[in-house]
Amino acid sequence: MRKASVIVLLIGIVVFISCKKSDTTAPANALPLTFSGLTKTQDTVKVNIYDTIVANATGESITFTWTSENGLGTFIPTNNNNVVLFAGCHATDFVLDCLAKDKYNRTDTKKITVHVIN
Amino acid sequence: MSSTKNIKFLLVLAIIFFSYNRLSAQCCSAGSPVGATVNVGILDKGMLRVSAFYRHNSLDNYFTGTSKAADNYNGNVSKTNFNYTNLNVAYGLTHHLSIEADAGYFIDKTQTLKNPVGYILKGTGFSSASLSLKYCLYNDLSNQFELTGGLGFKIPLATELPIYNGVQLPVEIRPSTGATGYIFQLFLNKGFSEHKFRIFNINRIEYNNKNQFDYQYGAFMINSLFFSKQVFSKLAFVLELRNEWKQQDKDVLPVTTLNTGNHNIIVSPRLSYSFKNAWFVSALYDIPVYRNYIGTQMALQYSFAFSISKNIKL
Repeated sequence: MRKASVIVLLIGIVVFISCKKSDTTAPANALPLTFSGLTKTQDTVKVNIYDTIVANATGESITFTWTSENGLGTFIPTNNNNVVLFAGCHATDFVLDCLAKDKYNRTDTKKITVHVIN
Repeated sequence: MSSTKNIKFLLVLAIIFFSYNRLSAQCCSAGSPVGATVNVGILDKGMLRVSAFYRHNSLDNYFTGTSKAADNYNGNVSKTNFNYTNLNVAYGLTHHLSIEADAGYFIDKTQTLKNPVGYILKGTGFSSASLSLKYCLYNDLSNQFELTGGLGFKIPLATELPIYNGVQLPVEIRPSTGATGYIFQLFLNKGFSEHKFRIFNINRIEYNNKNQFDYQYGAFMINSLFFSKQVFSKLAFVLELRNEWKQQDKDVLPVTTLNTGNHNIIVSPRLSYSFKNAWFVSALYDIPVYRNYIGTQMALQYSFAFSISKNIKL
């Protein structure tokens, strides 16, 4: 009996952590998620010097996730969640990805290339 | 063992210890903190050993080569800290063969930035797990001599890019390499029971494969020479001289220009206490006496660790 209880408990835990939260469906009157693009302040930037990258998007309660395609470089969030600072750790072109997600879990992604020089 | 043999043994250890000095390379890239336990030899058949350690590392100056970086260096990190824990379970399959598994977890890996002043980037999570087999190549109980070799592989416990406050974390503070790897170990031990003294040597190499970003963390090599003197019946003082090398990481560029890779020599005094014939606790403090960094990097300032282990006869 005790053994069976443990097995049931373990199965329950596995099922619980395996279940994905269902997506929220946007109501008909919800604002659309419009992600027009990314802008940067400098054409080229030196190694370890920060460039400011801005995500231009409209929608409801948008959050942004910033990554680089080679996994390198340093991002720093700012008080504005659509603005980050980025610095490359060596001279190359860094392709940055920004994922925008609204409160209804609708997403869009934009890219921008930062040219880092010595 | 005769004194001639003892001298030969010490010479071998000295050669191994100093032979790596021309290689280039530090501790604590993702997933490779140095352990804190010295119970690394073979186990008796049916013996289970469970051990855990906690390690804190602090890095607070930029180094270029062996010197502090120039004042005008534009690095944006003022301080880096790691708090790491590790659980290790080993079991003696036969009198000559042990199996060992371990897993590491970074409580945190933080970078405190200069701009914005005091801003902290923080990584946390599982590092990697490893499974190793250790085989006793030579054991002479009467002369208290042991030579054990080990082979193992590493599995990353996280492969996703870690995100903190909406941004990816810098490589330096990611908890996991995100890559598989291999471990090679060699352990030599010589006891001098008449003097309540023991000398032993641990060599360990960790090789990392490329991760999903085609980024390859450099191989990590440790060569440690330990002198252990029993000062009371259950208390031993251990002095460790540790050579650590980390090769430069490689990314997708044809010629890597990454500020990674280093070579440190560390003196690490520790106290080790045993009780109830099965429990071992130890505490250590690492003092870097030589630091050499490729490019410009944050340099190890100090670290300390605590470990506890228990042997259980099954």
